[in-house]
Amino acid sequence: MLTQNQIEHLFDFCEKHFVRHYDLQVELVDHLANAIEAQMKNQTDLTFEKALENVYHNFGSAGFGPLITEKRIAAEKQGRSLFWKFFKEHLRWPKVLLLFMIIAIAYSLFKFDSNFFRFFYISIFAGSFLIELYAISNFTRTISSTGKKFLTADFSRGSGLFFVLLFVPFCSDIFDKNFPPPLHSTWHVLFSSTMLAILVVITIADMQVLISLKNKLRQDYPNAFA
Amino acid sequence: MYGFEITQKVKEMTQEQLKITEGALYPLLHTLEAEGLVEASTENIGHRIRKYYSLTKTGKKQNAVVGKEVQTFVQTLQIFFKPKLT
Repeated sequence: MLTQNQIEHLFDFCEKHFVRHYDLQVELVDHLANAIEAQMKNQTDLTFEKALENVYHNFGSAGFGPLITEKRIAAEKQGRSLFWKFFKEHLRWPKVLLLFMIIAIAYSLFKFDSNFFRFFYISIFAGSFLIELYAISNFTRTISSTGKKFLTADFSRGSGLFFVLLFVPFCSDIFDKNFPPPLHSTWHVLFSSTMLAILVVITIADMQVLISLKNKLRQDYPNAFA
Repeated sequence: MYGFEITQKVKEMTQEQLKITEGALYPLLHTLEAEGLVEASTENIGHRIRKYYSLTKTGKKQNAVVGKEVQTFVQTLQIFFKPKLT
């Protein structure tokens, strides 16, 4: 079994070979340690440094490079899959009721008074934006407090904020003096309300992604969050 | 199973006919994890953390499908190579 100092040396070795993220370092360190231990067991006169050199050689001429790239791609994909998983959950019964409820409220308010509709629309839009910002900053703060970088955290967050900003064009026309356009006004309001409801679902799904990621990182690397 | 264990197990099962390199194994594991076919959990082992991979429910289903595909492929190849492989 390798000593604490040797394990620390392996972390430094990963860092020197451009593996900056703790989640990837942990996995590589364990692999290197296992392979070194196996070599040292077979050849008792083999030094730790020489065994490390041999093991690193097995990673090929590009070293850890391809591994980092692939892990980054996988982390992005994982983040997207997680987001769509939560998003789709809100389109299923009974959670889909929230979507219908927002559309119904927005439409009813419009029928009652278009200014109420505007107020409701802007409040939900601004609320989603602020909640999204808060969730991202809270997540970033928690991760930063560990003093470590996590690939899964770096490449799987914040997609919701992008979606919120995409909604600006949908939101802007409700300030227009002629809103809603006289022709097809019902459809226009229904469309705007549906977009608003989708925005809320996106915000909730994105928050769920961040919470889920945070919990998974805490569970997998308790020492880093201690 | 953890990464190193997988490489050793494959080597042992195939009597060293098949060797999975580290550079190929981890990217594959990370991709499978991202696709939800395997899931990972960690455990503290002495001075280090070990990451274990296991098949998810979807992964097990996919494994059965791929297993059948490979079997069909081998059977098809047997038509061309005689005597029959066992």
